[in-house]
This record gives sequence, C-alpha cells and structure tokens, in this order.
Amino acid sequence: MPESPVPPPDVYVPLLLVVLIAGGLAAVLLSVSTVVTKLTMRRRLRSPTRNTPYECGLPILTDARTRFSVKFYIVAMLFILFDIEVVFLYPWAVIYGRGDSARGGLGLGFLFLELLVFLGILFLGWLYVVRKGVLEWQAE
Amino acid sequence: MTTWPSWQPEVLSFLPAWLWKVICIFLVLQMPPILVSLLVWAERRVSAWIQDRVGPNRVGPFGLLQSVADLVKFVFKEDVVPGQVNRVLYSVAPALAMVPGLVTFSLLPFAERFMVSDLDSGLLMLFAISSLAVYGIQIGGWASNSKYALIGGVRASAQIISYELTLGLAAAVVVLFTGSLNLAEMVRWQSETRILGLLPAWTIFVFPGGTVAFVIFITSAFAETNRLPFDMPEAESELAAGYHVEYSSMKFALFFLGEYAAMIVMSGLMTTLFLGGWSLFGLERVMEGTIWQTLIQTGIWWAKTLFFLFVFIWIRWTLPRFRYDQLMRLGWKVFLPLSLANLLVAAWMRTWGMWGASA
Amino acid sequence: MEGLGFYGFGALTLLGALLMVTSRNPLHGVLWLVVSFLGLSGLFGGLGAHFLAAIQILVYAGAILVLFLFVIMLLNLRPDDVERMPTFSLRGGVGGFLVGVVGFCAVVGSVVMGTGAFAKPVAGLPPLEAGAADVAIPLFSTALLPFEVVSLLLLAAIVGSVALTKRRLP
Repeated sequence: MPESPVPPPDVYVPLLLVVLIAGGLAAVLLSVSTVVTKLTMRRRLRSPTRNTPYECGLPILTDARTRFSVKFYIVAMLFILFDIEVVFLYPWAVIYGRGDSARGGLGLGFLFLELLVFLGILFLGWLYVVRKGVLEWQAE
Repeated sequence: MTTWPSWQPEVLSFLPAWLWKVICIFLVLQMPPILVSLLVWAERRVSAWIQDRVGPNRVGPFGLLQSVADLVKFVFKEDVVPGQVNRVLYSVAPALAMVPGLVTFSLLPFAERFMVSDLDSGLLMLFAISSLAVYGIQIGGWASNSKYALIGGVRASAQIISYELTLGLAAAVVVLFTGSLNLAEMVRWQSETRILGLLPAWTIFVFPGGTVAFVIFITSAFAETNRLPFDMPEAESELAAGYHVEYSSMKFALFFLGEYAAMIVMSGLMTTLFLGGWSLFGLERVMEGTIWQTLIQTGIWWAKTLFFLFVFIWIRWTLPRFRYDQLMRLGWKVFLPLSLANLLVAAWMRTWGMWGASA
Repeated sequence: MEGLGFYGFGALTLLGALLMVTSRNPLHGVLWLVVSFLGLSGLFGGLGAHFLAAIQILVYAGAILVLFLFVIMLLNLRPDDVERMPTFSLRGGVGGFLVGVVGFCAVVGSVVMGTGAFAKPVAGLPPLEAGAADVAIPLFSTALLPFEVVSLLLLAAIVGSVALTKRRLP
C-alpha cells in the first residue's frame, strides 16, 4: 500500500499538452523566418564566401569536425556514474525527511549508516579520479 | 487509491477541472515569451546603468518596446543557411534548445491553486527535462560544422553536465528537509514550519545545511545557464558566439529564447526550493481559497523570481569570466565533495531537529 | 483515455527504436533513441510509476545518450562516410533478431509457466502506482545489499574509465 497519496496518472496530461504546444510553437517559429525569407528576397545572394563557416575572415583550411580532447569524454563518463549516485540519493532523502510512520519502520540512524557506506565507497572513486589528475585541464 | 486534490480557486470552482487546467496552461505559456522580451530590455538597461551609459531608450517609453522592434527584426532577417551544415540537424537544434525551457517552466508551482502539473516527482521531472537542453546546444554546434560552434557546443555540454550534479545534490538537501519530491509540497513545508518557533523555515534560513546548499545551487545555476561568470561556451573574445555562431534570424531567436527561459526556470526553482515559493510571512494564507489568494501567491512568487533574475543580470556585469580549467576544478573538486558533505550535515541536522523546524 | 495513452506512447517507443536502428547517420540514431526513451517514460507515467518516469529521462536520455553523442562525434564522420554506411547488415540483423526472440521468449515463458520475476508480484516490491517514497522503502530495506553493491559497481566503472583514457601510447 502506498504510504502517502500519489497522484493518478492524469497529472501527466497537462504536461503532455505543454510539450505538444511548445513543439508546435517551435515548428511555427522555425518556418516563419524561412517563409519570410523566401517571400521577401527576390534573388538569394550567392557567393562562395557566403557559404563558408564563419571564421573571422580567415581562409578556411580544414573541416571543423576534427578530434578534440579526451577530457570531454571522461567528463561525460564520470557524469553518468555520479549521476546514478545522485539518483539513488533522492529516494533516500525522501524517506529520510519523512516522519517515523512514513518511513516503513526504518530508523534514521540505520538509513544514515547505509548512505555513509554508499558515499564512502564512491568517495574512494572520486579520490582516485583526483589523484590520477584526470580533472586537470591545464596544458601538460 | 487515495484521491488527489484538484486545486481550484473557489470562485472558479464551477469550472470543470480540465478546463481550469487548460486556462492554467494558456496563462502559463504566455509568461516566458513576455518575460523574455522584458528581460532582454532589462538586461540592456541594467547593463547600461551599471556602466554609466544610457541604454536603449528610443523605442517607446523608456525603450520598453525595444524587444518588439527586435522581434520584428528577427522575423524579417534573412534565414541564412551556410553551405557546410548538416541541414536536418541544423534546423532541428534550435527547437531542441527551446522546447525544454518552455516545458520546465510549466512544471513550476506559481501558487497553491495555480499550477499546470502537480507531479509526485516534480523536481526530478524538471531536472530530467532541463537536462535535454544539452542536445540542442551540442547538435547545433556539431551540425553547424564551424570550428567556433563545435568548440562552443562541446564546452557547453561538458559544463552543463558537470554542474547538473551539484545542482541535483544541492536540491537533494531540500528534498531531505521536506521529505518530498513534489514542488508544491516543498513550498507548503517551508511556509508551515517555523525555525525556533518564529522565522518561516525557508530552506535558505535552515543554517548550515540549507544555506550552503543555496550557495552551491545558485552558483551551479549560473554555470547551467551559461551565464557570466561561466559563459565559456559563448566567450565572445575567444569563440565569437559559440554554438550559435552560424545561426541567423528566427533560428537564432529560438536559441536565445531557450537560454533566457532556462534562466527564468532556474530563478523560479531557487524561489521554490530555497525562498519559500509563494509564501511570505503568513501573507499567503490571507483570504484562503479565494482567487485573491491565488493572485497574492502568484505575485509573491514572481517578486522573488524577478529578484533572482535581477541578480543574474547584476552578476553578469560585475564579475569577469572564469577560465575553463577553473570552472571544471570548481565543479568537480570543490562543489562535488562539498555538496555531498553538506548533504550528510543536513541529514545530521534532521535527526537533531533543524532549529525546531522538523515536520 | 488510458488506452490512448498506452497505445500512443507504445507506438512512439517502437517507432523511435525502429527509426534509430534504420537511420544511416548515427546522430539521427541518437535522437531517435531519445524519442524512444521519452515514449518509454510516458508509458511509466501512464502506469503511475512517477519516480521511474522521471528517472528514465534523467538517466537514460539526459546522461547516457549524451555520452553516446560525444562518442559519435569522436568518430569524426564525414558526410560521404555516412553515405557509404550500410543501413542493414545480414549478420547484425540475424544476431539482433535472435537476441530479440530469446528475450521475448524469456518474458512470455516466465509469465506462461508461472515462474520467474514476471509471474506474480514479488513480496516486498513497491506497488505499480508508486511515488518516490514507495520505491525508497523497499530499496533501503529488502534491497539493501544490492544497493550497497551498486556503489562498488560504480567504483569499478570509475576506475575503469579513468584507466582507459589515461593510458599512454608508446
């Protein structure tokens, strides 16, 4: 049995409507400028420089999509791992903040210890990351 | 199955619940575009004021219609699509950047009887949808096939995801105090409990857990919205404009709208989580249930949110830009352990009574 | 109304997955997978699994697929590379089909034969219509050990990702 009132699934209907309206609005706004450009410009200006990427007037030498630092990938990977950790903290915080009856018989001290172990193990991971210098962004 | 209250002002209780929701959606979706146009004007006026200039003052009284003029310009500018771009992704990206801003705005609780969606895990849903804004920026930067745009997009994504962690951890402190992920429930807790029997228990006042969480949250919010002092993705002196450098006319306007909408959402979230949302020293309970109460609560909510928006502008014209390595060091090496330790401190406070504010 | 939501989101999930598999440009694939995950989140929401609905977007669409995006950009694709990419390979198709069949049989079989996780509601699991608190109580009591083991798993993943990227080439 749910310990606390949980809203019925209908609460998502307004949210869904907003998503549809916002998407529709974006589509309309995007097409407006295209249509206006088509209508108002009799002749599209064409020149080779107009079609090149903006680089402050310097001649373009290479394609933009070259490789970039591996640091960005490791940030993304570490983000996933720590994000999962944060996701576990939310349900913990919810029941920790409730009164004794809404906690399903779990004591505060017990819950605190559980989290301490969880965070302690992950803290080791964080320590490893810092010690290895993965998050140093200065040029080596 | 427990019933879920359908909150409606008493005067309007003859309306069916769904119609009231439709009215709410209609009203709420007016707010971001209007506010964004005002913000753009305010940003320019305030920056001028801070730098002892005049700012736009020609179009309409105090230059208030400047944004309308800007909008007209956006519509009539040529829609330049450079030759090197990936056309499909290039056109989709502005929409991907704008839609999450509008949708998350609709999740905020403006007043007890005036909100679009009242979800059980509202805070999580808000974070979830706002995390989708990364796609617009990243795809936009990549599809442009321009060096500045790509570097800006990659920088922005790495920055946004890094600070999403600390943002979430700071908000977890509020969850821990209020025992709920429902935003309206959080505000209700803050308005109903008292610290030392006197001060309303707005999370920012619950020292030290709540106060530290607020400092972490507001700093992360600046990084999350790519605002100065953390605007490396756009850093005009390095990258010209960052991920939207190849965009023009309405496509650019959508990026712009999304960015400012995200700023409004972050301000509103700070109001809701840390400054007691619609509550103000009992004023929120005056004329319980009437439409006046709803109006007062909405007014209080907006007053606080507008204050935070002013802070956003104020900081922008006060602090210089960080370096990227400083930004990453702050997020990962300072804020991440600090916010985790703060969560444990807050948990300790919870067992000890939080200055008499325990629920 | 409920049926409409179920079939609508179910169709969205399947459509997203199908287009993800068949799209030639891997970046389009990522975006279609996001669509599929949004549909899945809608299905969870329609069931009243509020916490899961939010987590589905937060973790899968908001974190894991962002990494996909980064990695695909690392692949350094040129437009003509994309054009030459096949949309369908026989080996991959057969392999995927076999995995799908096995998974489908496992689910259906466990329901039909009355054994396994899907047969009956397991005692101690949260009810289907569940907010965050209903998920939390079993998570921190019955599922205590798995919860703590997750932290070890995450630790291993952190060490692994660092070790992979810090390796120096001779």
